[in-house]
Amino acid sequence: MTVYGRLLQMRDEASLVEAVGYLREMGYSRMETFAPWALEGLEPPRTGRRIAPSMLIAGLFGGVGTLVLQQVSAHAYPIDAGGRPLASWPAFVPAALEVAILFAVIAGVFAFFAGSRPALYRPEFNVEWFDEASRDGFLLLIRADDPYWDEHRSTHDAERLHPLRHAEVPA
Amino acid sequence: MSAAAITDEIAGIALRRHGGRGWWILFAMSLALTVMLAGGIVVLLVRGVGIWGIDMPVAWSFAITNYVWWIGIGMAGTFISAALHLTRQGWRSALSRHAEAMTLCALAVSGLFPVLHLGRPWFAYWIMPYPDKMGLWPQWRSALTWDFFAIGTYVVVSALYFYVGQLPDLAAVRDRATTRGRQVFYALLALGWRGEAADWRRHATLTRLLAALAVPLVFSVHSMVALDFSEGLLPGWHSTIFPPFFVAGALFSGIAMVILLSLAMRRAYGLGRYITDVHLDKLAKLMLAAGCVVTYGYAAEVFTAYYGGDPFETAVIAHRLHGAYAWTFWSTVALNSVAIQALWWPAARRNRLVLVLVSAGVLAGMWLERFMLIVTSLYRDYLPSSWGMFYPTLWDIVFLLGSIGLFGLLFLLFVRWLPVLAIAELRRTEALR
Repeated sequence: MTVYGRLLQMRDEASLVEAVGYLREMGYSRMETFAPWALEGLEPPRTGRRIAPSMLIAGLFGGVGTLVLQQVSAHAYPIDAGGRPLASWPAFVPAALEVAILFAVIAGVFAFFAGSRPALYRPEFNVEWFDEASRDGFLLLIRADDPYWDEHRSTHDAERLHPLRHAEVPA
Repeated sequence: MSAAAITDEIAGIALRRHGGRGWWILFAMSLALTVMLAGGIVVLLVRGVGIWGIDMPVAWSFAITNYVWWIGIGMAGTFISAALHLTRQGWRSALSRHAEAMTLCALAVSGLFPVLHLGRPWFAYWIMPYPDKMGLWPQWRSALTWDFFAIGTYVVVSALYFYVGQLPDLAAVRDRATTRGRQVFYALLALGWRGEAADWRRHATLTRLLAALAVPLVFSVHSMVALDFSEGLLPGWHSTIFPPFFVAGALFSGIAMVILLSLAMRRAYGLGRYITDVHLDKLAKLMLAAGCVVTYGYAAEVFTAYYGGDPFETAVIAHRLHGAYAWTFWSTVALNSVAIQALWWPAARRNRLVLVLVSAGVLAGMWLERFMLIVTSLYRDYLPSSWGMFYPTLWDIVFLLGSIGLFGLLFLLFVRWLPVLAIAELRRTEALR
């Protein structure tokens, strides 16, 4: 049976943060932490930095695109209302604004899911007490694809962190 | 309360095996009203909008009133959730989720009316810009086209905001579910959320950005609804104050609905530890503030009509104040401007009975206000030969009650199947305390 990693449940927020720092110092680099709320300073740097730019680009595309669409269609299907100019820019703003927001939001949600890569199955779900992470558990996973991973040493390292419990995650 | 207790309690509400007798009674009532609405829609499709009391000159009435009323109610949910998120008001956690759900349910109901009102609802898609063989394009200068974009965007954005916001909560329910069917159901909804540090970071970034876009969206959407009226040249409608006035009215009625739903949920599920008197007190203050802006709007409309001196504007105001529908104006003032003054007293803001009565009054008052604004501008045309009255038919009542039933049905489904409060946020607020 192949191994995906080792899952540890730490006592609290502080001991989880401490354990991550300790393991990093030892040389581990592929770790994941699971907590019931966002913990400061644990996420890899540059996480989620694509979300805002993709929203900006999509928003601009939607807004400018809608303005262009209105301009084109106002000439393709001219409606003469009291001799007003066909390119009625002030009246074109509302639809463009709404479409800009719509595109930005949809792009943001896509960027979020692209980053977090939703999957219905994850190997760590096999550990019976993994559901503590959505309650009040602070879990730490050392992945077996870590270059520093060694089954025996990693088990020993895990024990040295004094977790509440730890278990092997089957792949 | 500990994070574990909060999670277990709120997830437990979604995972109960039975909804409870009260839930079933309300569900049956809402379902009956919704079936009635569905019947009404069938009759409407067969016989046309003539089944309602509308005619010339009053061609807009209950349907448009219901539309504006429901979309107004829908404004407050996103506003409470997003604006309080941006201003870092921790107390919003206990209110945001059901307020957002209320927004979605109200929008679903609201969207029915403009489509049904078209006369030929099956051509509703003509308002969309799409390349068709006839070479036809929408009239971009029309507020109705803006409305389509505003509402369409608002529906999509509030649905995504609602869904993305509760991914961690759906995961919490998934992890507590014991039956296979429920595990699969919530697992599909939670999309494998694990509470991973990088995911939390992305989630925080996304919700903050969505909130930042949702707030101007809320204001723009109801401003577009107001422009449906003020773009028309009718005295009483053609007014620059309409957009802010409508936005304030929308928040006003929406907050009233949030107060009623909060009180009902608090009682039904014993959520007093989360939705406390402090929350209700703050909501009541918000409602009072919105009510004062609305009252200013009423005063400004009367003042500008007389100050402007346009005889038709003055005549419409005179008809509103003294005409055949004067009772709607004075009831509106009584419910929306006078009754809420009780909320200046802290004791009134903490008294559940007073809150229920004032909020229900505000909801009724805001419906009457929209009815009054629509009908009093229409029933007296420029020429006395074009004057006429509006009398609702039974079908008007069916659609009004049916819309309330449909809203209730959707909201009841929400409280039965989804976590009613924002579990993850409450946990975090508790941990930071």
